[in-house]
Formats: sequence, C-alpha cells, structure tokens
Amino acid sequence: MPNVLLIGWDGADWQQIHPLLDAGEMPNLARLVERGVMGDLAGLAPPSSSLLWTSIATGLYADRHGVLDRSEPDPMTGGIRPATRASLRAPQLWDVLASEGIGAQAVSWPVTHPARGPATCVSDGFVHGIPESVFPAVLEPTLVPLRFHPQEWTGDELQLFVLRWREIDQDKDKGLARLAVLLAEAVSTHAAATTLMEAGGAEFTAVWFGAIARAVAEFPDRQDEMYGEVVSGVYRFLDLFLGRLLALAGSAATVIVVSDRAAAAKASRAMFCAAGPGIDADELAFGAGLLDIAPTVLALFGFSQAPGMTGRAIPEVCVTAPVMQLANLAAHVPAENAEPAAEFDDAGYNDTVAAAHRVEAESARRVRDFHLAQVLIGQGRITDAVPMLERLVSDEPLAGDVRLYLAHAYYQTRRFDDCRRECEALLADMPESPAVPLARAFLAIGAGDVAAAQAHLRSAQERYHVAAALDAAIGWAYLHLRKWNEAEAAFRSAAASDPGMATAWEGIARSLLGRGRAAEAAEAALDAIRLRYDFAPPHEVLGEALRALGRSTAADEAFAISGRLHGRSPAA
Amino acid sequence: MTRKRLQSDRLERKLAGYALAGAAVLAPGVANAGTITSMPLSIPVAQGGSAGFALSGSVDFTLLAQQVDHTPFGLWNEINVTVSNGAQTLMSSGAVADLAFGALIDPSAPGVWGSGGKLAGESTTGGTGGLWPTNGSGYLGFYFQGTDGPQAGWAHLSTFADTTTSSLNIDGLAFETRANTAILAGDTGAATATPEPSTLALLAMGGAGLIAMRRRRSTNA
Repeated sequence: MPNVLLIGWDGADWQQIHPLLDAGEMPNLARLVERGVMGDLAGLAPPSSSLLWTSIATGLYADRHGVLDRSEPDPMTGGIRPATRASLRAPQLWDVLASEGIGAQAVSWPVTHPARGPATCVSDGFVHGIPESVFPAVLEPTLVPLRFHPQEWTGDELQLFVLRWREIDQDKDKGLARLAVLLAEAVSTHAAATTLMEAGGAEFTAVWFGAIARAVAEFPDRQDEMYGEVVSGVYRFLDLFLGRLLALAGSAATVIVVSDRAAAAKASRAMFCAAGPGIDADELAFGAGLLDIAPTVLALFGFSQAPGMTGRAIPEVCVTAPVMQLANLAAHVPAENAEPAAEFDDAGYNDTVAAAHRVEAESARRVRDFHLAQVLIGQGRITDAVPMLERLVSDEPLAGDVRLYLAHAYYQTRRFDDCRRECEALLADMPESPAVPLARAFLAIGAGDVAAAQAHLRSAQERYHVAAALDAAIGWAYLHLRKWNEAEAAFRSAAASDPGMATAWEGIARSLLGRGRAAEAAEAALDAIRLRYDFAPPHEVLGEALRALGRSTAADEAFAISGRLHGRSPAA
Repeated sequence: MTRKRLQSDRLERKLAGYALAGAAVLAPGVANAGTITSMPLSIPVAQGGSAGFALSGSVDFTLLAQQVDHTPFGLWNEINVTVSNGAQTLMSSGAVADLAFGALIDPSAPGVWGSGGKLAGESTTGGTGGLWPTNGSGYLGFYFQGTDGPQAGWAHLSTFADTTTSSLNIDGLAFETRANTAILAGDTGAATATPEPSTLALLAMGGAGLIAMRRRRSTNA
C-alpha cells in the first residue's frame, strides 16, 4: 500500500525559499528537492486562501466545491463566521480515500471544522481551541493537551525570530504577541500531526501550516530593523518540522509539499516539490497546477480522478497510470454549476436578523459572489460571469473593482458598446475611483487610440502594482486592433514578469498566429498548456495553429480537449 | 535543466549544526548549560568480543558481536545489546531502534523502552534481521539508572554483519547528567550560539518533544 504525505505551506514561494536553500538554511527541504522534483504550480483566482486550499483538497474549482471565501453565513446570528464544512459541496481528498478503505488523516487543513469522518481529522479549529475539532472524539484526550499556547514561548526562543525583542515596548507594539500566536499554531499543528503519524494506521496524511502567509501578512517589510527576519525564520522553523515529518513518513513514502500562492509577491504562482518511489531525483517539473494535486494523490493510490476534476495526475510524480475507479462515484460527484446560495432569502432571515448582522452578512455575500465571478472568469466562462457581475454592480454601484471586472468582461465577450457604457458610467459616478485609469484605457481601446490606452494603463500600473496583468491587458488591446508585433511584445513582457502566467503565453500564441507564424504559435500555445493544462483557450489556439499547419487530425484533438474543458468557445 | 547542490560536505556540516541549534538564525546568546557528558570514542569490537558500559557505576549495557545458533534457523552473525542494572534501550516494533541523528530519547516516554536485543544480523545462508544496517551506522538510545532517576543517553555505532562474521565500532557516546531529561541522538552538548537551542529541536520532534519540553520546564522551575 502506498504511503503519501501531503504538506501545505500557506503562501510559500520559491523566490523566498531559494536564497534560504542556497545558504543551507532549509536542509530538509533541500534533501527533498535533491531526492525528487520541484516546480511552480499555476495558481487560481481569486487569491483567497480558504478557496484555494479547498481547490487543492478537492481538485475542483470553487464554483463546484462551494468555498468562495474565508467566511460564510452564520445561521445562528444571521451574521458571518469563518468558513466551515457547511460550505463544502464536494468531499476533500482524505474523505475520498477513507471512503475507499484507505487510512487517511488531515490536520489543520482549511475548512475542515467541525471535524467529521470518515477520515481522521484535526480541524482548522483545533489550534484555536474550538470544540469538535478532533474526529474521532476518542483522540481528544491525546491531542487536546498538545495545543501549544502562545504564552508558553519565552523571549529567548522568540529571539531566534526577532533578535532585538528586548527593545520592543510590548504595550505599544503587539508584533511579538502576533508572532507568538502564529508560531504557537504551527507547533500545535505539528504536535498533533506527528502524534497521529507515530500512532500509525494511515496511508495518507495531509498537514497544513498557515505560518508563512501569516508572517508575510503581519511582517511584510523584509527591511524592517526589528521584524525583518521573521519571515525567513518561519521558513526555517517549518523546515525543522519538515525533517520530523519526513522521518515519520519514512523513506518509502511519497512526500508532496505545496503552497497555494506566493503570498509575498501577491502572485498567483505556487510552489511544489515531491519525492518518493519512482520519482526522478533532482529534476524540474513543468505544467502542474493547483487542481492537479488531488488527481495526483488519487493516482498514487491507483485511482483515476473523480468526475468534475479538470486537473490531471502530475506525470513526474505518478510514474504508474492509475487503473482503479473510485468505488462510490455518486458520493464524489460535485454540484454542477453551483450558483451562490441565496442563503438569506431561502432561510427567511430577512425579517428576523439584526440590522448590524445583516450589513456584514450582505457584504460577505457580495464578496463571495465576486469571488465566484472571478472563478468563472478564470475558467474562461466569462459569459457566465457577466450576469453575476451585473447583479453585483446593481447592488453596489460604487464598487469600482467590480465595475471594472464587468467592463473587462464586456470587452472580452465583444460587447464593446456595453463596455463603453460601463466605463463612462464609472467615470461619471466615481471620478475619483482608482479604477478610472483602467476605465479610460478601455474607452481609448474602443476608440482605437492605443497610445492613449497605453498611457492610461501605465498610470493604473502605478496604483495597482500588477505589471504582468497590465502588460497582458495591453497585449489584448493590441490583439483587438490586430497589431500583432505590439501584442507579442506586451505579452512577452507579461511573461517575463510572471513566468507562470499561462494567458500571457496564450496571447503570444495568438499574436504569432496573426502574423502567420503557425509553428511558433503552436509552440507558444503548448507553453501555455504546460503551465495550465485545464485552461481551455490555449488548447483552442493550438488547434488553430495546427490547422494552419495542415495537421488536421492533431488540430481536431486540440479542439476536442478545448471543448471538453470548456464546453464553449472562449472570447479572445 | 536540473538543480544541483554544490559543496555537499559543507551542507552536511551545516545540517549537523542546524539540527542541534534548532534554527540557522545564529543570534548571540547564552551557551548550552553543559548538562551532557560526551565521550568521543573509537572502540572496535570483532566477532566474539564485547564492550560494556558502566555509566551508573555498574555495567548498564553491553554490546556484543557474536555468532548465535538459532536452531532450526541456523547460525547468525549478529550485533546485540544486553542491559542490566535497570537500564533500557529504545525500541521500535519490538526491536532495538536504529535512531537517526536528532531523534528524541526521552526516558519518561511510555511504551518505547525494552531490554535490548539484536541490532543487526545476517545468517550464514544470507538472511538478514534486525532494524540496523548490516553495513552502516546509527544511534542507540538508552537510559541507565542514575542517582536521581533514569538518565538518557545515546551511543553512535557502526555495525557490520555478513554470512561469515559480524563486528561493530563504537564511535561515540553521550548522556544527560540530569535525571528524567530527554536528549537528542548525536547531541554532545557543544556550546551553540543560540539560547536554549534544544527547545526548538524538541518542538520539531512533535508531540513527544512538546511534552518533554514542558516536563523539562516544570523540572527546572
């Protein structure tokens, strides 16, 4: 029976890790890298931790697994609460495996509270001392005492993270207290996970650590004289834990370490590495995405992926093709095209909930709906996202970001008149909105004034600090105007800023195809597919390029894949 | 295109120091309090020989390289450890555990202690047994009965066994001078630049290390 260990490091990023590896300060991760494969994982939008980790655990987009944000409606108060299993519309990996008779356990994974079977579970409520955080309950007497309290830290230990901690006025500066909390949560998770692993009986263990992303959020300034070393210290700390987890898993286990996004860079790329039987040593892996992790783990146990999963088993990790089907497929089929639940209307809370709770709950619902729209856009289902965005704008006309998404969605679906109307309305209603430069850019594009569009986009770049996305937006503008050389240059600039941006390579492919360079276009489309196999548009571009090359059979296959992934033609 | 590691010897040295220090953030601070007695050794034991260790004043454990008749399973060339005087060895699945560098040896940990046995062995017909390598090294975890209670320690051993003979080399040994106090395999108590480095190393061990850390603090309070 295979033995698989899946470790999640929230917000971890190779760009932060490489210097530590080079300095020998993460020796356990270094050993894992040398024994196996490493690479980037193509990320997903929006960058919501609960949403992304649930996509990793289910192998599904958020519109299918149901976790759209870190909060959900609280049926007791009418307000909101942290997202719980109540939001889940699809089973997580460990429950799928446990249902197939494989011993499985999960520790601290997001959206696992309250702890329920069939797998052994220490929920994400455990580190906060919330009841019902251990399943089965018989494990509570063993695990609950292992909860590490922030007050157990001494100053000398925190000195390893904050060298000059004695100089801190802790009445005014709560940084040490926040550090103590995030480190304590990591210790609690590690203690529970190691205790379960030492007891044996599980072939699959999933452990999640939130410390890196928390440290990046709490102490973002790496040049800060007092707290600048915290993030590096947390990486080293988790590497210590990794050593113990690797020892407990054993040399015959397949170990996978993943993140959900690069928190420090605010980039959608994530990191992963894997080592185990049959995996080549010290190699790079390409083309994997967050949605590939669940199929990969299933394949390691010999199972084909569950219906609805659009990812695939990472070939560098799964050297043997899976041959078994999941026994209880019906239990694993996710809800189709899940719309955001109209919880308030359905539950009849309109007349009973307090006004204050109603406001926060409505705000949280809009966030979830906005996230759902972004999830649909990320799948190329822009047409499906438009009515959702229209509803959001109708509810909250002053949400500049939402209006901008709507304008861009109109643009991408070739509803240029609607795009222009939306941008003009945005400029009229919110002349001071940070979205104004982008709106002006869209209007300039619609008028064919690319130079003006470029100027507005550069202006927006200063405010939004997302160079790759804006370069790509400029590229799409040039594509619309059939300025192929300029489009290619813009997309290559985007790819240089964010090498994991599949849509940049798709744009390069389209630019090359426009100039009749079909072979190069096919290569660029394949580069996009390597980054994100589950994204339909590059498959379609590949099909067009292959058809131009006279390779009709291969072209038909590419179009078939695009259709299977998408179901409709994406808008360019 | 692959990622190649340079200067692996330097890395191994850093690994050893890192595991003891608990972190690579080398903040200047209080050195280790020196509660560990360490003995760098190189004691060869050929087949037919033995080496006994009297840490409590009387012999606590004995390492033997011997050929044993396990009729009807034939003759075996083995490395064994026997205990006496209330000493115990760290076990795993009923056999003497082959510990990795940095493994936790906690005399108060329940259910992991035993009365020694075979480390490694190979029969004259080629079968092998024991958790230890027939041509390798590892750490033996033990405790002996000190004046105030069980004192934990480790011995670094190189073991060899094949179809014709067995032998071992005792490469080093260390033990805690405080009773009921955990030690990490390989920890010689050398001064480090990090205050209480073993705290993070204990926490890195997980639940057992956390319990050991709390016990240490309550003992020292």
